[in-house]
Amino acid sequence: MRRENAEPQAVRRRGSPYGLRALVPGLGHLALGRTGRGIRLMLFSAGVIFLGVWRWDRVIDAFSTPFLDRWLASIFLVLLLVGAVWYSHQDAGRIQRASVEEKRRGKSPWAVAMRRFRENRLAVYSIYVILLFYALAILAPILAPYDPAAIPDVMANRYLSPSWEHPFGTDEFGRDLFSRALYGARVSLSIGLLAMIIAKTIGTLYGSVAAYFGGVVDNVLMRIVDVWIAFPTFYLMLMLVGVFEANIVVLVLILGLTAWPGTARFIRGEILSLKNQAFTESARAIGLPAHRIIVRHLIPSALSPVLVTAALAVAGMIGAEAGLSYLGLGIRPPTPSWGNMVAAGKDNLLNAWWVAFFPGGLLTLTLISFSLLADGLRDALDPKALMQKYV
Amino acid sequence: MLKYIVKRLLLSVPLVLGIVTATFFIARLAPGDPMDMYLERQRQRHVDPEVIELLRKRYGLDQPIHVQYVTWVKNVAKGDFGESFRHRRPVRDLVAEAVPYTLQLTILALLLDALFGIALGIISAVKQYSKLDKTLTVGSLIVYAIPGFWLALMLIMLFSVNLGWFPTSQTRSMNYEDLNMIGKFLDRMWHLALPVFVLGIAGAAATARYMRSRLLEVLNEEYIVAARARGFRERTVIIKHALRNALIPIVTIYGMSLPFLLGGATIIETIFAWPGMGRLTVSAVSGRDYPIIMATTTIAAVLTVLGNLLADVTYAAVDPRVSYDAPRKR
Repeated sequence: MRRENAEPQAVRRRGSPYGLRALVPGLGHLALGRTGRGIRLMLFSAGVIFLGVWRWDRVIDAFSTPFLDRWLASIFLVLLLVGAVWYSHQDAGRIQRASVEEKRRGKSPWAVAMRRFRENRLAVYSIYVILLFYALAILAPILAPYDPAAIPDVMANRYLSPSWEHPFGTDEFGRDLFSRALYGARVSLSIGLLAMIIAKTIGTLYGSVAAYFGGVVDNVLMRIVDVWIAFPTFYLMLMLVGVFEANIVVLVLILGLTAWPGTARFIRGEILSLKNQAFTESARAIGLPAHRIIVRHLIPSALSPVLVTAALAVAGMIGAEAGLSYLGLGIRPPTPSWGNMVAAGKDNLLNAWWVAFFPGGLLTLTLISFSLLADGLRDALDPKALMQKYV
Repeated sequence: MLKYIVKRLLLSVPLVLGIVTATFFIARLAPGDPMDMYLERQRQRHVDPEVIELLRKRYGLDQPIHVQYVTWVKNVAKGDFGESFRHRRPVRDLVAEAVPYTLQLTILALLLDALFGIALGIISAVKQYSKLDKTLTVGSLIVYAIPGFWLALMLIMLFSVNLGWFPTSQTRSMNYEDLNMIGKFLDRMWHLALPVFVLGIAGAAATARYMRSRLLEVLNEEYIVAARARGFRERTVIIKHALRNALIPIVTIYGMSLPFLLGGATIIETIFAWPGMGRLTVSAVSGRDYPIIMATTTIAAVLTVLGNLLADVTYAAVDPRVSYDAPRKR
């Protein structure tokens, strides 16, 4: 507080952060001399506004339909703009204060990790790619130029090569592949994320319960893990899709339920080393119940390596879903997923290369981005593990 | 050593029993019984109920579940996985036919993996932080992340469909029977080229990263400094002193590829119509041919257990610092 009062002049000289500057994203940055970030923020919000105006009818119509995904897309578009304004205001304020105060660099492990992560340019780009893809997936109902399921005049429209009207071309039924790829992104990306969350949640809880209680509980729980982990993951998934008819929900469950034991084993090891440390002892001493100690004290301490594996797990899940759908055992055709879109193009590589190329290319870009992200996270969170094998 | 192996084998027995049990009950989780699922999948819903009863009896599905379970465990112990619904032949024979094909594919893929992976790993470790190293490290990450089925299709498109250099799929040419020994061998290699490349390149990428990190670890050891101080050439230091120790964990990693070696590659085998274990499994899953699914899943899991055992044993065998025989009595 005192520091702020020490030099009120400096703040005033640069103008009030309210008014027009608070409303136009990036304007504050331009005034403060942060041209790069200012222009990026402006372009971003201009893009969002352009999209909103261009597809105004769709944004508005969404609310008169019963489709949740269309509501979500419209709300998300508004949130993007609000978010840009808010972030710009906050960030400009922070820069302004930082120029007055002496520069304080965070010393917490998270701040250090964050700085180290930012230095890894590939990892930062891959975050942008991932965020972009997820945003495109959510905005699909607004963005998609055509209805992904609509079959127009088949004879006139089938297998059109990429053009301005159809950036990714059309498939054997004359459906626009760009629109289908956008909707396919929703399926593929959300399955990956949800399955990862399920796997990591189950694995973390399971492993920490086993480690915390130890003894017979640990023994029984870990023997189950031993059996589960012996199955090669993809074989287990194949067997499960052979038993249950796969739709999106079932597939998420199958992927999530096959992939948790690795996390369980890992977390167990971490917790075992934490559970006799002083902070756990004192938590026990003040009489906290076991579930509280596990959830509030042990799991947070063991979580940062899980973050790295989480990024890899999303890639693994998206890849597995694509593989299963490619084989015709995952998401079934009229619903587009990147995997079954590639499969649809596999028999016509000679005349219509674009059918298999684009969805697979997006899939590849996504998987590469998640791998680079995981690599960056690992380097940032644990410099000792810099040289660990990428699994 | 022998004592350790025997002990580990004995410890694996309950694990294998667990695997066999899990496979059985997962397959029975399906609504209805396997025969219903199979017939539904085969679009044979209107089969005469009497025929279905006969089929059930033939596959032992008319027995109570616990009897079926005991029979399953007993038969697996004898190496008998029952009879395929679709092929009406013992699963064991189908597997025996598929394994040689899978082995041709996976052995070559592992060779490619080891050759390129180890070589590239050494290069990037020796030139740590150089441009070449950075390119190789990021490149291997990217190559590893590319989904195999898409890479396979793109290669087929480029080299088979457009350029016509390699066959798109299958194991042999039309005139295979007319070829002499060398011709047959070359023809097989020609058909193997693309699938082996796709499988090998992903493995090589992972191996290269692992090799790099192991070698860097060893290069920081004091005996390497000592060797350099004694004036050995850098070549000698790396090849004779560092590499030997760096290769130990790599060797054990290959112990763990046992399930891949025999279990094959599901998607790649399917793409290239390669009649190995992977494609057998995938086609069985598509056709709900439960005896085959159960058999290949069980085999793959048991191989994983054996692979881990093999990795630990080779580790003890090649690294004199690790000894499992000496009990921890002090």
